[in-house]
Parts: sequence; structure tokens; C-alpha cells
Amino acid sequence: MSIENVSAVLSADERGGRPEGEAAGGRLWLQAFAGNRLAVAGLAVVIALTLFSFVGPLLYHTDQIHTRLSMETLRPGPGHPLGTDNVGYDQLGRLMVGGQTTLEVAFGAAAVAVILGVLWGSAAGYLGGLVDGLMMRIVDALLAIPAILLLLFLATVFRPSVLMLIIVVGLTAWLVPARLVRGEALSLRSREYVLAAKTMGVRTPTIIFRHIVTNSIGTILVNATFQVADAILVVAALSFLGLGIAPPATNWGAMLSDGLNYTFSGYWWLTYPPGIAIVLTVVAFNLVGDGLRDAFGLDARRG
Amino acid sequence: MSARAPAAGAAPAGPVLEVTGLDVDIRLRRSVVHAVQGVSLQVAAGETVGIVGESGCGKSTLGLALAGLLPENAVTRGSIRLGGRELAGLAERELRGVRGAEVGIVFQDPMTSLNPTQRIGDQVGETLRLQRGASKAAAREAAAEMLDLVGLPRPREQLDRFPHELSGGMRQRAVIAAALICQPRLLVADEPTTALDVTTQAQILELFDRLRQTLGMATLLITHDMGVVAGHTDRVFVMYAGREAETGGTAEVFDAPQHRYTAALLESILRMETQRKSALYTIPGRPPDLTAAPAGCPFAPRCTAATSECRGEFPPAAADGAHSWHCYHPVPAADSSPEVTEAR
Amino acid sequence: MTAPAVPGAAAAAAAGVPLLSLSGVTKIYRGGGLLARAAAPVQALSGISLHAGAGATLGIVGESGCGKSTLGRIAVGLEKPTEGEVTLRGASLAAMSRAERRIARYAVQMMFQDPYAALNPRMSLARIIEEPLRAKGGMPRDQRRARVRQLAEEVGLAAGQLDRYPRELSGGQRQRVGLARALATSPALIVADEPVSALDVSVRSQILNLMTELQAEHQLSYLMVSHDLTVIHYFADHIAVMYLGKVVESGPPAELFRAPAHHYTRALIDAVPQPAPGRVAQASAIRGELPSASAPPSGCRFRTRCPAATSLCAEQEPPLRDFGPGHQAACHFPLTEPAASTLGMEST
Repeated sequence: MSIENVSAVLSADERGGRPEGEAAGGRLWLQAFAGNRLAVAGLAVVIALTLFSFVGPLLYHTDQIHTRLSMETLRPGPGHPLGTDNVGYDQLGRLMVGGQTTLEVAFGAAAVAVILGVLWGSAAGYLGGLVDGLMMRIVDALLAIPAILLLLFLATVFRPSVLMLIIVVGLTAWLVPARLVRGEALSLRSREYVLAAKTMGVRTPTIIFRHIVTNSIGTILVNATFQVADAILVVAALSFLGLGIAPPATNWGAMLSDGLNYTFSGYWWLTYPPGIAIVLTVVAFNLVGDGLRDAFGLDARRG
Repeated sequence: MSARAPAAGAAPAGPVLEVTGLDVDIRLRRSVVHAVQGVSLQVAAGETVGIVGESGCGKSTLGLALAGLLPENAVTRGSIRLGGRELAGLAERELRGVRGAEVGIVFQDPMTSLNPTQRIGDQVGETLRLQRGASKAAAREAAAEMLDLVGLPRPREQLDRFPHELSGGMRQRAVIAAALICQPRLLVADEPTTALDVTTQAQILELFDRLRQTLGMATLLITHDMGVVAGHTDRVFVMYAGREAETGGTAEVFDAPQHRYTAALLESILRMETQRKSALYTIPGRPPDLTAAPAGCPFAPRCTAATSECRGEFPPAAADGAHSWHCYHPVPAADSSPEVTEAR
Repeated sequence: MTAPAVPGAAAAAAAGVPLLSLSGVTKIYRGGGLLARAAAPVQALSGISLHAGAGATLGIVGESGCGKSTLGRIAVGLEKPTEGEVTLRGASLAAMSRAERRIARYAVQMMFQDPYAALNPRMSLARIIEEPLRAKGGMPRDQRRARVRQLAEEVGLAAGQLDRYPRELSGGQRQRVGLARALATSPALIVADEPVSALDVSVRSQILNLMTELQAEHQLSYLMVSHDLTVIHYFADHIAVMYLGKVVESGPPAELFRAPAHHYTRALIDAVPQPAPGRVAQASAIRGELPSASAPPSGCRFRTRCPAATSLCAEQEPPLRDFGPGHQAACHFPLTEPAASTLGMEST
């Protein structure tokens, strides 16, 4: 049950002015989230896959640098639980390494998108008027450019590396959080505590951060999780189109793309594992995002 | 379908509304809020009973319970009989037949009580169509009559307007028209004038008085405003911490309040006669936590006359005719105002 | 760092110049944004002239659409008047530089209506009360902390509660926090916008008592804005009744209520529900609905609802006339006789 249901029935006065056993600091949403089984499951999957990718290689050593053509496309079996790919890399180990890149880029891109979007959107929404109009028209204009084309362009111009991918994907994704946060800012700027801050002579950047952004955390957090999910898909798409990072680095999208060449040869272990990994992660992040959205009591359109 | 004649048929033998031992618990994540405890009251046809108390006293929960609109996490015990028919424990489907037809409901905020995308005429007539199967034309006609009855100027023009085209007072009149169009036996009005300007409030309260005389329904007026209660109710039911504190004829209770809380409440109200800039009487402490359910009188921690007896068991009802109260140490007759205490 | 005083402050106080003065203030809202709508501009305030004296309370009473909230916001600097002047201790705010104005503004602070929206839910009470001190600057951290504790004590909050969050407090406690925050910079005037309207009846008296105490202790002035006549009557030293952006009557509370001159004032008084069952509820004399603020009636704005309106009221706007010491009203057919001299006409 979300916060809204509770407060709809009772005011703080009816509860005697004390929240039901919660620590000072606003953890009601945490409790609501924890009660949502799907959301917790999603979170568990995310944690599991992250551990798999980053801690896994420490436990399961494989050589992901040197190719060994003599070992190409071996079936799953002893020594290679998921077989090997077309140049002899152990597939399971490749999945882990690929996971690292995928998750790094996804988290990084989400961070870039969210930070940029929050800064832009909160300023536009709070300042309002002409400034808001200008800033949001820029966003609209950028949104009009198909992301894929933009990505392709950027990816061909810049030599792909993890950092470049993060920046490139982030730069196309920040527009959505910008709009969301601007919406929040628009509604928050007329709240009385914001007016109070103005009367006190608090400076504008401080107001934006201390009052607008902190009270939009719910929306921001929810959107951030969806950004991660989207970023994974975008990276997969880019790699599929051949614009990923050069070997021996890899990511799940690239693995999927490479593996598709062998679909008709029946080498299922080249396509299913990365494909399932992508789907699992994206769904898991979406579940977490949905759970957060419910926990914060936000409606479906926002975040 | 004339909206002016009171409901035809035999005068009801007993009270229109009879609530006995009503308990409402709201189940929260880790605790249970005892919003209403052991409330019993009756309302006769043509009578207006005011349910008064401050925030957290349970009056709104009581109103929702009577309207059958409690949330899913609410547990109800006790009996609610409307015209002899038991409402507590009815399934939602059956409750839907009761709401609108037998019980009319008016809420506080006319801006959110009306659907902004639906025309006034349609909203007012909707209940008639759903509950009595009236045709569109008949409902429209009845709606026009109701809008006229509630004092909307040029009612036929208003039928096709949208809520945002009307002022707050006019919207509330439309809401009242919608609530009464099926001529329900009971009208539950929860803070119907709180969101309105004081001059509009006066007009709406006058309207309630007039409708009561014309339509003869039983009315439950839920409010925190003692002034509203004083001028527009026959009987009053004072609530504190989910329980009944005192009940009786309005004039009696106001002239000689017996329960310490009632007396304290009346004393702390600002009136025009209150001496300007004088130290105001305050009730020390804060309303109790409804998740705990301490034994004894819930007002004891804040009462100047409390004794150990008060903390032991909830005081049984003491009565003087129709005026009853739950207090071990009612206000002595000679002096009907409690000691003035300084703030803090 | 001593805040540079508003120029001429000491002299002004000595000479009896009002603390805060509004002269001919008009505020018009237009449909804004890049695509300016063709909607008619809203005249929230029209030619308002008022003063608030040191240590006293000016009460503004009126219903929705009268402009009292806008007035409050202009008084505290959240909005700028479209026309007219706001002076603080005799010095015009418009004439000051931005920096000077920022400093001068600390003399006027605000207390908000909705205790549930006036405090940032994500800040602890201590930080909420501290915020104005941090914004003003010039106070090291421990000094600020000490001041916060002092303020909390003054408004009746236990020091232990300072680490709590607003959601854990009741409405009355939150209003106390709001008061403490408004007091932080030692203002001379607090604009209180409906300070007790959202509170329970029994809590109202606590907060009003507190406000009275603080006024006595700190020589505070209040500009109290409310729709609640009984609160204004109790608390204000001088009352201005507003309708659709204009002051229709003003004067000392006792006289205003004993013998109101304007029909609207009379209607407001009659409409207040009295908790005395013996008294028969007065039939309200006024009819109809509030006109739109973007198209106020010609002449006297109240004429569309006034029982005594004639054609004169539609043609000519009534000027403010004297009805006694400090008592003025704008009506062609007032309920009482105006004072002998009609020279005390202020422009409306």
C-alpha cells in the first residue's frame, strides 16, 4: 500500500502525530517497496547479475584476451559450461566480461542522463517564463531528432570506448528526465515552503537544489532505473549495428549480434545466454522502477 | 417526477438512521487505527444531527462508514440500519443500490466532487438514471427542477454547463442537487461549507434548512465548526478520539455542556464577544494517538478534572432526558465554563 | 556584520512613520508565457493604500478573490506591484538597489497558511528554522544553532524535537515551526497569511496566544490576512475590509463591528456562524455570486450583490469617506452617517 492510501485515510493528527514506527528521515517508501514482491525480486536479479559480472571472473577464470581458434564453437560441456564462441573464448566468461561493460555503460549513461536532465529541467521549471520556454524548446528540438540516427552519427564520429559510449548514450537520453523534472519543478515552485525560502532571501540555485530537486527525488529515482534499462537496450542495438567497442572487449549486445550469424548452425549457446541476460536485466530494472513508482505513489505517466 | 413533494408513503415508524455500537478499525502496515469506537446514534426524519469534533475525532470516518465508502483496509463492526434495513456488511453491489438512492452524500470540496469533463445536468441526473432507471429526458427534467430547488439561477441554462464555469457556491449547490435528486431518506454532509467563503457558507446553510423543511429527509451534518452546529442542527453529537463524548439537543448541550471536552471546546472558540487581545483559553496537550487504545476516558490526559477513575474504564453514559454524556466528572451545574488556563 | 538599516529607520520610527506603507498599489495579472493568451487581465488589487504601525496588528479581511493574499505577498516582497509604491520605514523599496532591497526585506517575514505545505518535508526542523539565518549570512554555525534552539524554546517546541521532520508533527506544532522560522531574522513585521485557518479550533487559541506573547516581547507588528472575521476582530488593532481588489471599509475593530458603514462589512458580520443556539441565524442580505476579477463591475464593485444599490452605484465609484477617527468606508448609501467633514478623502 502506497503512502497516498495511508494519508488519504488519516491525517498526521489522527495518527497522533507520529508515523507508524518509522525512523526520522522518510523511509516510508522503503517499507512500501520492500513489501512489493515483484520489485524486490527485480532488485535481487539486478544485484545477482551485477555480482555475476563483476565478482564472477574472480572465481571463474577464463582467458578473454587470446583467441584459440582450435577451440571454436564447442558445445557446452565439461570445462566450458556454456561452450565457446567462434574464436574460442569461453562463453560463460565472456558473458561475465560482457556484463561488466554492459552494466558500466548502462549505469554511466543513466547517471549522465539523469544529472544533465535534472540540472536542465529543474532550472527551466523553476525559472519559468522565457527562460523555461527557450530551454524546453531546445529539448523539443533535440527530441525531434531520431535517437538512433544521432547515436549512429556520434558513434561513427567518435572512436568507441566505454567512456564514449556512456557519453553518447547519456547525451541522447537526458531529454526525458529533463522534461519530467521540469514538470515537477513547475508544480513545486508555488509550494509554500518554496515561497518561504524566497522571502528569506535564499538564493535561486540553493532553492532549486534544496527545495525543488530534493522533493523530486521520487520521480528522479524512478526515471533513473528506467534509464538504465533503456541504456542497455540502446547499447545492445548499437553493438548489433556494429558500432560497439572493438574486441576483445565485448558486451551482451555484441555477443548477441555475433551469435546471430550462427543461428542456423544451431549454436544456441551463442545467442540465448546474452539474449536472456539482456531481457532479464531490462525486465528486472523495469520491475524495480515500477516498484519505486508505486512506493512513492506517483502516477503512471510520471517517471 | 416532481422533486418538490416529500417522499410519498407512510411516515417511518422509527428513526431513519439507527447506528448501534459501530466500530471502525483502519488496518495500516504495522498498526491498527481505532478510528471509531462504540458509536451509537439515531436520526429521525426531518431532523438534522450535527456530528462535531476536531481533526482525528473520527467524524469523517463515521460519515464514510454511513455512506458505505470506507477503504478496503477498514474493518467495521456493529450495526447501521437505514429505514430498518441493515447496511453494515453489505456487499459493494448492494451498497451501490443504497448510495444515491437512499443515502445522499455531499462532500467538502465541490471542485473535486464534480467530474470536470461532464456537464452539470448529466451529473445531477446520473443517479436518477442509474438508480431509478429514468430516461435521459426525464432525468434532465428532474435535474432542472432540482437545480431550481437548490437555488441556482436560470437552472435550464446551467444544465449544459461544465463545473469550471460555475463558482464554488454554485458548484456546491449542484452537488447538493445531485445528492438529493432521488429523494434519499438520509443526507450525509461532510464539511459541506468548509471550503466556501463565509457569505456563500451562510447561503448554503440556509439552503440546507430550507431543503430540510421541503423534502423532510434526515440529515447528518458533519463539521468542526461549532457555529454551524449551533445555528443549523436540532441535535448534536460530540466526538472525541473516535468515541461519543456527549449528545443531546443542540440548545441544551451548548447552554449546559456536561462533558469536560465539550465545555473546553466551547470555551476555546473565538467569538465576536471574546475580549480582544485577552489570553485565550486553551486545552492543554494534544489529541490522542488512535493506534493505541488506552483504557478509560480518552480525554483524561488533557482534562483538568481527571481522576484515577477516569483512567480506568471508559465512562458509561449518564443522561438527563435526551441529553447524555460519558464523563465521570461532568461540569457542575453552577458553573458551565471550565477554569481558564494560560497557554503553554 | 550589522545589516545596513533601512535608510532613515531610526528617524522614521521616532517621527511615527509607519513601518510598512502601501500607496496606491495596483496589481494586475496578465495571461503570461510565450504565447500570451487573449484572456482579460485580472485586477487583483486596485489602488490600495494601507499602513502598518510598529508593535500593532493590521488585519485584512475578505473572501476569495478580494486580493488579500496578493496584498500579503506584495508586502513581503514575493511580488512587485504593477503600480504604486511600497515603503519600509519611509524608504521606498523600488528605489533601492537589489542588494539593499534584499537586506531590507529581512525586516518583513512571512508566516504561511497551510502548515502541511509551509515546511519542506525533507528538511529537519532545525534546518528549516536555520534556513533564513544561513541565507542572510554573517553567523557562524554554532551561533546559528544556538539561535535555532532559542527560537524553538520561544515558540514552545522542545529542543529534542529539532531533529524531527514535519510529517511527525501536528498542525499546531508545524505552525510553531513556521513562526520560529519567521522570527529567525528578528523582523519588525510578520505577514501572517491565514495563520490559524487550517488548525483545529482548540489549537487556534494556542497559536494566537503565542503570537500575542511574541508581539509583546519583541515589539512585533503583524499584517494578518484572513477570511475569518472573528480571528481578525480578536487580533487586529486596525482592520481593512477588502472586496474584489479594493478596500471597502477600514477602521478600529470595535467601531467596525458595532456600527459598520459598508453593506459588505455588515453582510460579513451577519454571515459568521455564532456558537449560540438561541440566536436566530440572520438571513443573508446579499445575493448572487462574486463577479469575475477580470471584469469587475463598473462604479462600486459590490453593487451587483448589494441590497441598497442604485444606478448611481453603477456610474460612480464611491470615494472613501470618514466615519469617525480612523474609520473610513467607500459607499454612496452607507449604513451609518459619515463624519461631518468629508475632506478626508483618499484616492481609491
